[in-house]
Amino acid sequence: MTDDLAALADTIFPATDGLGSASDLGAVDYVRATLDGPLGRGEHCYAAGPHRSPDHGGHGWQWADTPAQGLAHLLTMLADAAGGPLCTLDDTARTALLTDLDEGRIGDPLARAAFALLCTWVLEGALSDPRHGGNAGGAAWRWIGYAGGVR
Amino acid sequence: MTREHPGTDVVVVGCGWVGGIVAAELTKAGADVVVLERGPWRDREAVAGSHDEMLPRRLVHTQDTAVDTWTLRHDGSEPALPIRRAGAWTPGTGVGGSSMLYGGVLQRLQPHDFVARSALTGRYGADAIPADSTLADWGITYDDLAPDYDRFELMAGVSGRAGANPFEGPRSGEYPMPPLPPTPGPTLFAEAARRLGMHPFPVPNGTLPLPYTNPDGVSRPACTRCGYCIGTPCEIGAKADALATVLPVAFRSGRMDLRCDSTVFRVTHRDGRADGVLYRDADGEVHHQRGRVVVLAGYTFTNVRLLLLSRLGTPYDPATGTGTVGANYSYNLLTTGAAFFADRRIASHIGAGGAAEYVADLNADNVDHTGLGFVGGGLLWSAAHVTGPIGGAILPPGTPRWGTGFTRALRQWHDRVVLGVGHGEVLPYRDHTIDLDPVYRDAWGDPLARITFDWKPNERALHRFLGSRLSEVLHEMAPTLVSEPSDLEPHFDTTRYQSTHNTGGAIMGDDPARSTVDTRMRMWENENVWVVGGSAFPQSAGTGPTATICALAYRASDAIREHLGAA
Repeated sequence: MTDDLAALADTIFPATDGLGSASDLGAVDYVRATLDGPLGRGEHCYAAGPHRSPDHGGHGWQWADTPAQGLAHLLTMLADAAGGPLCTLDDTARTALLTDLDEGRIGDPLARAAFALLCTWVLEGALSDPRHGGNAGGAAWRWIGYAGGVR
Repeated sequence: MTREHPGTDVVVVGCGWVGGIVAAELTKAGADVVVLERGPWRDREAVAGSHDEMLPRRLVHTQDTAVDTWTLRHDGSEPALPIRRAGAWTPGTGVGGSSMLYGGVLQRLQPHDFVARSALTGRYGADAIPADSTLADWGITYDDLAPDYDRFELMAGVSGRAGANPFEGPRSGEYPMPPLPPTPGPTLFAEAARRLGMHPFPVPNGTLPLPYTNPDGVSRPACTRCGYCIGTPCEIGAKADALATVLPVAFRSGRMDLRCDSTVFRVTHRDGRADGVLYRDADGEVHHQRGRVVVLAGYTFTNVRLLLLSRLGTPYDPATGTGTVGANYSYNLLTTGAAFFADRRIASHIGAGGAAEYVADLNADNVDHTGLGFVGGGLLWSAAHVTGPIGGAILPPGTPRWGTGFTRALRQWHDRVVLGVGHGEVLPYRDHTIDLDPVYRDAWGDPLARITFDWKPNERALHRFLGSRLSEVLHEMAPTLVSEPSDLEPHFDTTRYQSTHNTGGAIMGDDPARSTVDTRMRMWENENVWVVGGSAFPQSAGTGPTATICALAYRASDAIREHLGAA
């Protein structure tokens, strides 16, 4: 099943030189589990208000939105900018869309922060120990040549 | 309802390095000790399965900031904002505290560090120190503390080679253990530094190259070089932590009552004497534990916040310079760069956090600062501490962070990177403080600790200096390309890891008007309260604080034992 989240994750981590994409590796399942888990709900993060927008950098995530809500905002914003679901776009169109986001032509600070978080989670899903649900069969470890991974 | 407990000799708040050392030393002396730890119980079996870099990435052993965090403002005129998720520092929680998570480095401060103000003033004149800095001598010298360093190193089995660092203070003898076996990345770094005229050395650390039995009869195995140290408890206790070294001594005495999931929120006191502490258990029930002596043995911010919440000592007022609690907050700065080798593997998954080559040539006042425009120094190092492919995904500058440009770079540069680090001191300033936040509160309604901190010109200059010398070493390694150390961000960033080396706020000294605790860590204003830890440092040093915190814990233990014997 391909949806907007999987389409976005596969643009971040596409199939490359014999290694599968984020979806193929189970990294999208990892992202979904993370979203449904404590991190996505904002647990282990201080949640009390007031929520203020700092006028300069250094304070990290100060939005009232949980990371899951931030990611939902990102997906909505991208779909609006694209004029339709991300999963119906081709690779070139999705790449152009994310380039616009990266270079500030579309999006807002929350969307960019959510995108940075998603990039991190996709990388974790692809390269973490398979016990976490991604990196199916350790395929990404073999592909990059990681010689560790002993338990 | 508050549940009252029978009194004991010593109540210790926190079960990290300091709490463990105090508990071991005082139970050996025949005292009864209650240790209260807010985090969970863990033993060595509970940390099996630590070979997973997702554990530190998910902060599973770190203070739970959903319950109790810190707020930060960059200057006193703006409202502070909560640090919603630990990032720049990651203090541990649970039995063993941060001792379970540190990389293992246990290096003494230099003699200069204890007398930095008088030494710098003497060498360069009073104007050399920024006018708003509250840099202060410690009230003790290196020689005063050397016997306590000795005791700690013998207990922990610290490895190193005496004299390998030409800038280290005098030692009574060789290190208890020889250096760890060399690893490829740090070796390349050390060879380059040596060619540039620097003096690299294997850093003293608590990770054992060989099995070791200490004077208390506690045995630990040698490191297996699995690579999982930093942010991760050692699965076998080869890295010195409180659980592997001092806590067994306290346990077997039968005199330690360790209570986990017990969060102390007040020290109770009357007429200048503490009579105990109030704490909450996991169910939220409030307990009162009385004791003849109270020892605050928590993380820097925890100690200072407990003093302020308990109205112990006199809060510091930066406007008038009066009071001491919350003054002299300082930190460490970090600069990093990387050397990339297209044609060689580094085997960076093998080694230990302590398997590192350090350079002290730029530390403390080892270089002549005349004309440099700043004071203070720092270390350069390279450590075999890349703990996995995610943390090790260090890519050349300009690499895209998504798409095939990103995925191909992951493969191309995996295990072909040597990371170089510069780690510098941060001066204390009049307006860099710890106090109580007026807005944000913890899960039980108590104010959070509020930190006022930003990078100042002296630190920016030191950071650039360390970065430029680090860059020279990286280029000398003749790599394919170098990722240059970058300048400090416009404002201190609470999300980017720098170090867990927060210090000050309840500083030691020989002047009650300028220090919260005396030179044996007893409060000037409360004769039976000791405040021990990074909070006692008058300022940070280029060298990390852990060994010195532990030496201070031995020093405080002696004072507490004498107090109990005399009382």
